Amino acid sequence: MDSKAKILGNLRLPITDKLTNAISEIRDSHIYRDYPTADEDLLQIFKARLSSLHGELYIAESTAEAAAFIARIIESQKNKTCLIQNVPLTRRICNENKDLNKYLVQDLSMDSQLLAKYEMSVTVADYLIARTGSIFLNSISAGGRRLSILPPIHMVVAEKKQIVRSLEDVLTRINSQASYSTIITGPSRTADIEKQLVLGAHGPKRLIVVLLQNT
Amino acid sequence: MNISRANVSLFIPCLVDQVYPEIGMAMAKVLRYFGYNLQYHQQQTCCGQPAFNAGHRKKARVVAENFIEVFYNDSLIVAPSGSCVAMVRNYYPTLFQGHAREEQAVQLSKKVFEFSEFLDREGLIEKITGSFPGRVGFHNSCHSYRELGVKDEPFKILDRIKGFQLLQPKGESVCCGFGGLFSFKFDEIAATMANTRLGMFTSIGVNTIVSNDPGCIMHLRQEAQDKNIDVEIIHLTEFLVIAMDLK
Amino acid sequence: MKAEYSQFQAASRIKSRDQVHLTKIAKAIDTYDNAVAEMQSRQYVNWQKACTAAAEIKECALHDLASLLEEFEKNISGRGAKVLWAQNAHEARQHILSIINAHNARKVVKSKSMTTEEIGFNEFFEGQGIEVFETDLGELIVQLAGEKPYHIVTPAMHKSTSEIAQLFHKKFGIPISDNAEELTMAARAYLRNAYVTADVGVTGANFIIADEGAIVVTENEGNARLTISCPKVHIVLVGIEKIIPKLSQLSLFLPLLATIGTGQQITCYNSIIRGPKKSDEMDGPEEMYVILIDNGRSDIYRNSTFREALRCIRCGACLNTCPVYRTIGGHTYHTAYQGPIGSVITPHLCGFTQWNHLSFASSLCASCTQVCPVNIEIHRLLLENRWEAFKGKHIGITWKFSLAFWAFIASRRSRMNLLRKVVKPGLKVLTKLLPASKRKHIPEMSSKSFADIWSAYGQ
Repeated sequence: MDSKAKILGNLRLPITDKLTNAISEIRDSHIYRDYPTADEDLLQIFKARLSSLHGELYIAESTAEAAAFIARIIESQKNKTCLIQNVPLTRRICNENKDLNKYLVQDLSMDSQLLAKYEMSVTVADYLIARTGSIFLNSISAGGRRLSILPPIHMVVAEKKQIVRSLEDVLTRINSQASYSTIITGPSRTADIEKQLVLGAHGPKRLIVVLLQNT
Repeated sequence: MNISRANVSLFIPCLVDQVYPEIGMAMAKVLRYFGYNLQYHQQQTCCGQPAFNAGHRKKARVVAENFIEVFYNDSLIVAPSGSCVAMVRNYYPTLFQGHAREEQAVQLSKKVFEFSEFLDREGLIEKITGSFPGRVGFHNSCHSYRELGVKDEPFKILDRIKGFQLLQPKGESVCCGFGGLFSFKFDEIAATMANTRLGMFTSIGVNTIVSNDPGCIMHLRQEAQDKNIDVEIIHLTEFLVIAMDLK
Repeated sequence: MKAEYSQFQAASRIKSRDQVHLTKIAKAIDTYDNAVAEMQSRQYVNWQKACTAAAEIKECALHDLASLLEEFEKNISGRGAKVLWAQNAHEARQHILSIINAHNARKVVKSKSMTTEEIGFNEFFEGQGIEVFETDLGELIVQLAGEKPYHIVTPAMHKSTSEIAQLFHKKFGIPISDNAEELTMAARAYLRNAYVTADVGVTGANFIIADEGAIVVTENEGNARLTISCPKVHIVLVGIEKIIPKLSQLSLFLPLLATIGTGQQITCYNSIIRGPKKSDEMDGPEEMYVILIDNGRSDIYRNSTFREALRCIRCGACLNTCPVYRTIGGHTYHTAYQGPIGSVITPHLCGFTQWNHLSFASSLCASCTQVCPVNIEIHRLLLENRWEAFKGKHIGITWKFSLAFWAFIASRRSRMNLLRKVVKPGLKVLTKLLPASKRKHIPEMSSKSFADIWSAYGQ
């Protein structure tokens, strides 16, 4: 008998213990004190949460404004290297500033050692979660797995309509076609050295969300 | 002050009987003050907890059977110890599951009370008045706190007494390190735990620690004596006898 | 006395007297306590209700464990992952070794995983000539120091900044610094190269999801994400009990684990992985293996008294609250799983004979039970383990005899009275024979027993 059969055989017991309670559906609105209520501004909540985690939010009234902001951030980097995921939203923004076009990359399958040299990446996301200040993206929508974790600055371009209330809203809408999804909540951090908070432990030190308000 | 003529059976833990009888006497004085008829069954010995906690359930049952025989006719049984009451209330049903005395054990488990929870459920706390000097902290025994759910009762009692300053370490109640035979088998760990617990009180200026479990009192007193830590450690019953000036 | 027991006694004596260690651990746990209390009240309408919901879900999962594991296997295999089953640590190591050899891998990066500790991953694979890089900062620190993890969530809790600085100076050649950021950046630089050149990435999983056919890894640093994204092969080693039925239940479990694990609303990165990279994806591992490990868990499962121990989500709360853990620290246990839950499961997983003493090294204060986010009655399981130890004849003859004698005396008042006449003077003699540390625990008997006083007053 192989290991699987042995293990499962051990686990197939007629368990007669009654379950204490049939699991009723758990709703975030019942569990969480900080669940955003209907009349609350989700954008403000998202902003507050993201900031408290040392994430940055830039609200752009237009794609032109977004383009200018992105250009400034790239400019401020030492080597001015950047990888921008090539998708409709980013193309629209790059259209506003031709200088940005050179950063658009279609093929992100390059060697990791090469990818690691870039100072910054710009990706899109699936959703922004207000309650926790999180970004939800997957390996199909965000240009793979590495793009949002290797470069020290990760910039996310998103639209206001992508903001949802809480984690449950994202889990019901997950793209099961992608091999990998991740919920990002702030820049990378550690407190392993005497509980002192340090950002940028392995993942990005800066997480910047560029939010398009009027699209 | 006669409130009631009910019968209360005194459950005197072996540690009180043999080492700290004054705690038992103090409890008797308080209960008598409230008008209870007190019964003390001379045949009582121990609830069996030492053997039970050591894992020897067979032998624990032997001792517990004597307890059941002695007490099963009583309707109200009070002990100055949360751990002993927890043994009977929470563990006798398990200990006697499938045994001849199972029904008696289950019945008995509903009739035992720790001293402060007894005063509370009988509505006696509001009748307490008195005064006590100094800076007092309360050490709630883990068994009272977590096995019996006795959290507020001791503080409601302390609240009735004037004069002293109540200084309580912040956060949850932390174990003194007694744990019965644990303090013997793992004596260094237990001593450090006692030291840590004492420090939580002395560092905020407490000069009298009041507790509701004789085991905790014994263990803390030993460490205080060993390390020359200047703090009085008394039982809640003793505190009340002093505060209420009972004879 | 068993070697493990005497080792425990010796180590715990040393730690109990080590004021530097006691202060360090108290400070670390104090920070944790404050963060957790704040987050519990900030995030939750009712923390206890959330724990009850989590406990119920875990009970449901355990109720249907076999079929949920099959569902998980079917779903994740459908997406190209290969599921392997390991009855014990040896099989798990062999599975991983085959994979490593099949890919001619020499370099492995791994994120923090207690199951890899459990199977002695580092020792075994380093012994096979494989370069193993711990990527979690705390794990890296203890790996470089040649130590075992001190705590299941914060492995380097016992190391001060200056100790880490000395270590990094020695290993990376960086100047000695008392700046946590500089030290972290040094580790980051060292590991960056490892991520991008490693052949295989190894992780554990915090949860495995049956309906989605996915594994979940939760972290703050990003090292797990890098471990899962860069190398061509991803191996997951996860205990069979980690399963939860539905993806949607993560909206309860992820914040719960973060709140009680580190006092965070949710951890920085929570990744849900359904398989290796798909053909239309830019990057990711070409192969993914999930090794489901038993290693004694099914034995615990089959014992209905202990089954609830398998609800454990490895949050570390019981370690942090335990006054014994706070006194002796993590290394004293000499096991992969420490603290209260470790003391419950280790005798079952690794042998009652050698490890039952852990279940006795507790004052049964029940603080562990109080804090557990899945309502495991940990202290009651310790008591049950003690009974198991007796039943299995793992208890020494001296103890057995002493307890039997005590029970004989304590079951009849007449015997107690008689013995008192003998014991009082006897005790004084006995007390002098004991070592000082034990002597003080022998109480001084009062001149009269309560029974004597009561009958004297004629009451």
